[in-house]
Amino acid sequence: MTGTNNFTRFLLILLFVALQSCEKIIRPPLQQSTPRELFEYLWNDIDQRYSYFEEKQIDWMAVKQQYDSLIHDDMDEFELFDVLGNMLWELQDGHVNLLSSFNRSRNWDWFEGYPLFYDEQLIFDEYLKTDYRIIGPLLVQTIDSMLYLNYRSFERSISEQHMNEIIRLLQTHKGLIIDLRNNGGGSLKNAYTMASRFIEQETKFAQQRFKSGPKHNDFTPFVNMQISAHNGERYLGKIAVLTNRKSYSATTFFAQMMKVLPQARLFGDQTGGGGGIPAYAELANGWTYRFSASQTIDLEGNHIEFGVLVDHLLTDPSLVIAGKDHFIEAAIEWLQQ
Amino acid sequence: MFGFLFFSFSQKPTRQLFLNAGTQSSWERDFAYSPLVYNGASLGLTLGYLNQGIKKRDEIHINYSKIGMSNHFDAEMTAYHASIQTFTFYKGDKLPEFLEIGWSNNNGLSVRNFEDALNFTPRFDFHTSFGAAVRVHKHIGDSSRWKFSSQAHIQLIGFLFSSSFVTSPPDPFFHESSTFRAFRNSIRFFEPFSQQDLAVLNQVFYQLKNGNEIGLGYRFHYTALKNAQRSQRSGGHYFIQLNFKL
Repeated sequence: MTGTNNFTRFLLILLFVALQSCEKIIRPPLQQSTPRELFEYLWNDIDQRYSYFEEKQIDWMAVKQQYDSLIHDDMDEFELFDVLGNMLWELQDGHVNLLSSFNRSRNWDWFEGYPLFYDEQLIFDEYLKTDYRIIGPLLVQTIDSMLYLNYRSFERSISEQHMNEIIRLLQTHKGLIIDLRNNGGGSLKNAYTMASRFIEQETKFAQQRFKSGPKHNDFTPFVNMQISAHNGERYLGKIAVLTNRKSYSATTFFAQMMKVLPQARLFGDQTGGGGGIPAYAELANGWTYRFSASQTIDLEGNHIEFGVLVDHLLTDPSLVIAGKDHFIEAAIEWLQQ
Repeated sequence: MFGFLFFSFSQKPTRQLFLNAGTQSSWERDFAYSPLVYNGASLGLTLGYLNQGIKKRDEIHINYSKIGMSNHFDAEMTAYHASIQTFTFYKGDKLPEFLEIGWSNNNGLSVRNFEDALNFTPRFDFHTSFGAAVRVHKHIGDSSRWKFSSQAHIQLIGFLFSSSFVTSPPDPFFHESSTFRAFRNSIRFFEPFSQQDLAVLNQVFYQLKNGNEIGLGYRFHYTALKNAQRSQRSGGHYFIQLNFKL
């Protein structure tokens, strides 16, 4: 009897021990990927999930054929990075990047080569001066009875408290200038937080759709993008928004929000675009990449990926005023009318 | 797996509340973001209830863990795992005393927050499914104070609700006019063999003089789901458990 019990104990302990760490046994091992496998994986994922092939008339298969011959098994990681980065460059999209520990590929054609008409030193010397206020991410100054806001990046959060103070200041100003030149974007939430203070009721400003399947034209239906009016204090007076080619992504969205408001005007140069919300992904060698995975159109059906046009185009060199910022001057002139 | 355990055993009707805690070691892979495996370990908790009758045993397990994971290249992801599982075991007249068979229901949620993904995050899977379950149990030695049990389940049919091809919420939530319709259009069948969910739970208990029990255990689970994208996860939960007699 004692022998049987010992045997029973032994079997139970054996069973208990045998079923330990199963999760480690079945964990897929890390496999070294060849340059070709990485190339194929990246090309396929972009092929299935990138959102602007048709609008940009990109023959992605031809791109594959072009870069395929550059891939070979004995290439080092720097060579591979350059080939993959160059392949992604063909998408002509500022929301497409390949990131490694040693470099970040990009296509900045949306602003490189264009005059930006933004001289930060001039703006500090002539307009912000030394006594400007800093309200959260906003640099704030009074210029000719107008409230001037300089917002460097939508990555920096604007809170309701910040906007409460802006609205309070606007009670003693005749107009509002929002300077978004060189603002490369960030969080759309900040764009909504600001815009919600400038509307009376819910306002549709664009439509958006997302990739929903692997074919180039697999998308969800377009859905409205709307700004909801803030419940508290708001400002419904005139607003001048300053943009240039380096106003991108969330800044483009904000420009489109302002464009549909009857009391707002866009001044300067069109925005750089960036209407596709970027999705993020990772390769088997640890490099990450991002790519546009949605589309956004304005109320006329134009893709804001290619930028939001301004109401007052100020890119003609003859408009430049020595010692002054002609975007700000044009905005003040309109606000004073 | 259980074929060599031919023992005789009898159980009295009891009701117990149980609580266990211990290390949860897990790995996870979401092909919508990466082909790489993320793994890590953290504290896992289970709260449960069991009702042991003469011919039938019901169990409810509520599991939760939040685990910081990383891949081979030190990229990080925070995973939240939660599940509510129910088991119903029956003693068949023609079955050996130590063996019970029945069915189980698993309602499992996995939420994955990849640190480097700034949009369309977190990604998630939720499935509610039904399947077969089996349990073996045995007192150890001459004393009735020590006992061992092992139970397993495999899910066979049910429903799946998870992130879309790109977006974090299922995409019907972007364009359907009502939440109910969006939810209805987001659900997909959990099909046998196409989707996989199984688990094994081993426990050893010692009964205290007041009737409560203290024990050690190990719970292994594996889930592989295929919706607009594929995901896999597995975990091993090593725990100390207290059973309180009600």
